[in-house]
Order: sequence, then C-alpha cells, then structure tokens
Amino acid sequence: MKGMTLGRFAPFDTFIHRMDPRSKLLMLVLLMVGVFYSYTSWTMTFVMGGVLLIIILILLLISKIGLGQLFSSLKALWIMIIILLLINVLVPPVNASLVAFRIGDYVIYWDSIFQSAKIIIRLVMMIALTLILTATTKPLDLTYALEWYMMPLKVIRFPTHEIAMTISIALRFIPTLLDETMRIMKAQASRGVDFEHGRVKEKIKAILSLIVPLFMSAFQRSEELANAMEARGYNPRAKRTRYRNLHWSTRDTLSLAFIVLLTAGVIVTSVLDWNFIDMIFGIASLGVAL
Amino acid sequence: MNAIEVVGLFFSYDGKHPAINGISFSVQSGKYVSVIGHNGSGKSTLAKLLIGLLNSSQGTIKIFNTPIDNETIHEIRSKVGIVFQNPDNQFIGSTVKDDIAFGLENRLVPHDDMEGIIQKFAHKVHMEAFLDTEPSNLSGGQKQRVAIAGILAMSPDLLILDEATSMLDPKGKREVKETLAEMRSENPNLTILSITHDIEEAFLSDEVIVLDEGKIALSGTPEEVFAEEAILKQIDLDLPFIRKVKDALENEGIDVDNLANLDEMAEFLCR
Amino acid sequence: MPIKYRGVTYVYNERTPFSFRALNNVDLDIVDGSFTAIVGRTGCGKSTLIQQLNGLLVPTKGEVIVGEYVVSHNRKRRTKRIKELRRLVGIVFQFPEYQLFEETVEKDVAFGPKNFGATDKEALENAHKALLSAGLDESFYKRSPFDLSGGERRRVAIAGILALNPSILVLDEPTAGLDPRGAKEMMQLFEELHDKGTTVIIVTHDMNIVLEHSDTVVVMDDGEIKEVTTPTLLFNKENDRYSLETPLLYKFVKALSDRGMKLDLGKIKDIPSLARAIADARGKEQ
Repeated sequence: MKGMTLGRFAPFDTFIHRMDPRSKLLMLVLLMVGVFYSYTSWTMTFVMGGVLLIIILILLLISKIGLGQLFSSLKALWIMIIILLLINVLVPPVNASLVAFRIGDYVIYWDSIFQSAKIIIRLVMMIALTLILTATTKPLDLTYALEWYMMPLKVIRFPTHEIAMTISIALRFIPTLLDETMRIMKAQASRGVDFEHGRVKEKIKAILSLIVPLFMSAFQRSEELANAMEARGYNPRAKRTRYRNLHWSTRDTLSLAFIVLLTAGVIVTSVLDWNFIDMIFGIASLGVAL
Repeated sequence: MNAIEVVGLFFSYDGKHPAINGISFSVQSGKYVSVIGHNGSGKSTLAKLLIGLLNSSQGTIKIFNTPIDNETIHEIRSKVGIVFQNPDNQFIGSTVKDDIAFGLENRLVPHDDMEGIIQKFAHKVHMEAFLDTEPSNLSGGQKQRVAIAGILAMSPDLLILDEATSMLDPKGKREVKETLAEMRSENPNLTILSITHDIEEAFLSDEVIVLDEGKIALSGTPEEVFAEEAILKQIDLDLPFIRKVKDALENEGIDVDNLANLDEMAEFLCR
Repeated sequence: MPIKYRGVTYVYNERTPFSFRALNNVDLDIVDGSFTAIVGRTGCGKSTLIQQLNGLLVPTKGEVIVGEYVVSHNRKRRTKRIKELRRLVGIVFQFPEYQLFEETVEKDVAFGPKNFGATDKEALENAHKALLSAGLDESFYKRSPFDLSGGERRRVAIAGILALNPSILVLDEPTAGLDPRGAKEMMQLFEELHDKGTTVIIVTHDMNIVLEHSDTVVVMDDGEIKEVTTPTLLFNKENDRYSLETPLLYKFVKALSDRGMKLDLGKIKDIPSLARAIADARGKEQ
C-alpha cells in the first residue's frame, strides 16, 4: 500500500535529515522538556513560549515539512481543544484575578484564556517536534538510535538487540501485512461480509473474519522466518558484526550543544524565576529616568 | 566425498505418524539432484532435517562427512544454504542490501568487507539496481534472487532448494532458473538438492529421488527413474512430457528410442 | 448470465502522485456458460478486471453488466443490490486458504451462506454439499481448518465459495503452489461445475491449463484486451510479445513443423491427439 500518511518519513535531503538519529532523538527529548517548564508571570510564559515556538517553526521549515501537515494533525484534535477551552473557562485557575469580560452573571478571566492558550501552544509544539523527528528520520534509523541508547541496559541482561531486531522486522513487514489485510478483506467481502454496515453481532463476526486469518498467517510467517534466520546462522546471543553504522558528525555536536544551552536557559529561567522581561523594562525605564 | 549421506532416517512430527519412514541415500559432491513426490511425501521435512531445523529420532545425516549434532550444526550451516518456498517469509532485511548483509553479520564478516561482498553478489543475481529497494516493491522472483545472493555470499558447498519456484509466476520461475544455471556454470563443484514439483526440471537433473509417504520409492538417473512407469503410476506421479509423448507414439505404432530432449525427438520423427 | 464490459477504465489512487491506470477502456463480452481463461503477464490488469465483476472495485469510467446487475461509475446506474451480485459471482482469490477463520471446517464453509440469509440448517447443508464436491468427506466437517494441510485448506476455502452456488465462478490462479496431482484434481472440479452450467472464468499463468480446459482465451497486456480467441489459435502464433509461456505441446509441434512435418493444428489438443497427428503425417509421407 502506498500513500502519504501523516508524519511519515519524507525523503528530502535537509540539514536535519542528514543528522544522526541519536542526536535528533536526544534533542527532541530536551526540547519537549523545555516546552513543559512553567513561569510565574504570564508575560514570561508567552515570551518563552514564543521563543520556543519560533525555533520549532524554523526547524519545521528546515525539514521541509509544510505547515499544512501540522495543521492537519491539529485538525484531528479540535474536539480536545474545544473541551480544554471549556474546562478552563468554566473552572478558572486559582488566583484568577484579571477579568476579561462578563456574560451576564458569569465572569470570564483572562487567566482562563491564557491557560487554554498555553496548553494549546504546548500541544502545537509537541506535535511539531514529533513531526520533525518522524519526517526526517527513517523508522529503522530511529530503531538503531533507540538500540544505542538502550545499550547500557545490557549490563542487566536487557535484550536490547532482540528488541531492536524485533522492531526492525516488524517495520519491514508493515507494508506486507497491510497488503494481506486488503486481500483478506476482499476475500471475505466476496463471501458476503459487510465491513461497514450491520448489527453489532455481525460486525464482530466481520472483524473476526479479518483478525483470525491475519493472526494465523502471522504465526506461520514467524515460524518460516525463524527457520530462515536460523538456517542463515542467526544467534541473537552470539556476537554479530554490524552493517549499518550510525555516523555522528560535527553537525550533530554543534546542534546538540545549541539545544542543550537553550534547554538549560529555559530551565534556569524557570527555576530561578527570572522575570527578565520585567528586568529589561526595569532597566529601560531606569535608563529613561536617567 | 559425498555432500550428503543419510542412513536409516526416521522422523515424526507427532510421535505417531512417521513423516520420514526409513530413508537412506547419498548425494555426490557437485551433482544436481531433484527430489520429487506429492505434498505430504516428506520432501520439506527432509529439507529441514538436512539443515538441522528438525532433529531426527533415528538415523544419521552426514554433510560433507560431518554428522549433524548440536556442536557441529553451526559449522554445517556455514557450508549449506537453503532457499525456502515463500519469498516474503525469508526476506529479513528492510532493503536488498540489508537482507544480504544479514547473513554476513551472523558470520562475523568484518564491517569493512561487507559493502564489497554485497555489491558483488547482488550483481551476480542481477539485482544491483535494486540494492536500496524495499521488499514490498520487489516481485517474488526478485526476492528469491536476493535470497540466493544472500546465500551465495557465504560461499556454500551445498545448496538446498525447497520448492523455491513454487510460488512464482512464469517470469519469476525463469529468472530463478537462469540464476541457478549461471551459478552452476560458475561453480561446478556446487552441489544442489532441489525439492520440486517441476517434472521437467527433474528430468534435466543428474539424479532423481522419488519420495512417497516418507520412503524412497525410486532413485537413479532421470532415464532410469522415469522408465519405471508402473511404479510412478501407482504413486500417481506425472511423467515428463517427453516420456508421455513417447508412450503415446508407441500406442500409434511408432517406436522412439530413448531420446534426451524434444529437439532430438523432433529430428528423429522427421527423418 | 452474460457478462459485458463497456468502456471500463480503472485507475488506482486517483488524484494522488501514486495513481496508476490498471484498465484502459476495456470492452469485453464473456459468453454465458463458457470456460474462459484470462491470461497476460503479471501487472497487465487481470486481477483488476475480475474484481469489477462482483463490485469489489467499481470502474472509474464505464460499466460492467452482469445479467441484470450493473456495476457502474455512474451512481444512478449502479445496482443497489451489490450483495446479491456477490452471491451470483463467486470469486476465489489466489491462495484462498488464508481466508479461513472459523473453529471448524463446516462452520467456515457455512459462513458464506449465512451472510446471505441462509438459516443455520440450510447453511450447513450447503456447506456439506460444497465440501463433498470439493473432495472433502464427513471426516473433515468438525476438524479445525488450521489442522489441515495446505491443499486441504485450499479445498475448504473453495468450498466456501461453492456453498453459495454461484452461477459465475471466477478463479484467480487456483492451482498456484499445488503439486501436479492437486492441480489436476482441482481443475477436474471446475470442469464438473462447468459441465453443470456454471460459467467459469480463470485467471492463470499456466498455459497447459488454458489449453486443456478453456474454450475461450482473453489476452491482456497493459490494461487492455489484446485478443479474444481460442487456445489452439492462440498457441499457433508467436506469443513473446505478451510474455506468455507456450505449452510444451505446442513447443513440440513447432519443433516438428520447423523440420517440415505437416500437422493439422486444429486437431491437436493433447498428447494422444498429437501422437495421432504425427502418425497421420508420417503415414501420408509413406
């Protein structure tokens, strides 16, 4: 089955595409952390949020991900966004003070609106970050990156290699299994199965007629695959050499350094409660006064 | 040296019905041997026993004079390659390159040597243009050729084909057969054991073994085996086309000597 | 029930960068009660063609008329009773054994009839009849389909479609992966059904089957119908352009005619008739 799905790897050749998946994964995690830090004043919240958002938008641009993709994924969440807005409006946060407007007897605070906006912006950033990762990194490369990060777990006999092998085989079979699903659906449809309409009992039978064969065929595949792998000398516990190696370059070191500094800055600002906007205004007004 | 030596082999899946019911045979190095028989005659079971995926309950199997057991199995598998029937269920890598590399990784081939080996053997099976292609974009015949490349890359001395062309369309069958023919001419010492339904293929091999209900019903050269028409009929196995024509012509009163192929027979008839 | 394709075009993934025209303006008539083989290289559109017959796929342009049912791009012309059509036209896809899912063989075969409104009793009766005609006796009824061999499972799957008593039976490579004996038995089953009046349409690469069983051959290439002919006429010509394998019978006939033997091609359908023709030709020389 071919076709574009949301968040799928887009084969361009950008700076970010060329980066080592390990650095990308780490940077994603760091930026995610940065996204979630809080500030006491709303100004700081939105200024920091804005800074991060701009950086993320720049990354989106570099990776050649159209803003359209971002909005499509948000479209899917619009119900959640509306519910969020409603909850925050109906249950205002503690210490709400700034009144925005009134509807009859009901007071709507700016704080509620800011709170919702903050959550929505965080959501947008999270989705954008994930999109950047999946659009610029092949699933297999991500698997290798994960395997590398899991390596220390080998000390406690954690089966890192087996897990990575399992994931890579699963990835390889996704298109094959999708094709098989289509084939089984057609065969059952030719026997009168209606996958769309029907009472609950019929729908359950319909789904069974799809899932059971898929499972049975998956088991058979696994057995044949295992035989083939064994016959080719595979032993997960024995030593193996590696064909695909990941290459860490200066590009990765510099980018990671930048993101680390950024995240550190975010954390420090939050923890020390540096309201530097007020500070800047303070210094500016001082300057004016002088 | 014999590539394969089997003595008194028994095997049962469920402990009651023997899938292999007392088989003894040997295959000389460098020969192309076909194994034919109905589904259920024990052919696939035999293939799996020969590569140690199954353990026999009785009897011995020696591959190049080494008996198969837990200690020797790794060494034996480095000398034997097997191509299975389903092209998808033996394709492990996410691309052609990765699949060929899989075998190399298992055998601790140094990383720096891998690229060269992969290129070389992909070229041998004419798949060098598809090195970065995913299996979902390959035909059955192409996938089987990649399987062959992966095996060749390990320089095996014995190649077992377990109905390797059964699931392919005519084009795929042809591609695989041509690849095998090229392999044979490049490595005359390569022993091939081909489990097949293709009677015409069996007719062209060096030796034929006919399996029926876990026993060897007939074995010998194709001429010898296919002359035993009564036995073959009893087993309900097809005869090669050329023999069927010979029989039909005899019915019409035309006697034809044992001729090797259709062209020779055509020559004879048109004289 | 006559089958008519009129101006059928089918495009996969229309309006995407992956669009692919599998059928291009196909016009075809399949005679009621015929045994028609559809041949052509992989990718020529055979599978797409047959899926229009029971409405699994609907033409992008044009329409397919099966008896009184119309499978059309035009929603107004399209029949609302697609489900009925699916009972009349039974399609067995390649490697059908992968569709089995019920706990017992008889339940799986009864699944089809039940979907079309049969009572449990009727469905089981149909199932038993279908299984018997597919060569599986009562000992198989209560067994799990997953305990059977590949060949047996294929028969169960085919019985699953036969239990619907289709007037038109469409088979996509029914003998793929079977041993020669299994293939022979399977084709015999279809011959019997054909003798009883079922229209049989078979998509196949096996030219020996085409020669031995079909009365009509439809040759496809690149999404188009190139020829509609009989097996003998087809194999008398060079078929490299469609990548069709020539049956051994005809390869031999060619080898003989190339060396000057005069053979009456119309009389040669199998090996005994070939032998007779050779005897006649040699007799005439003497």
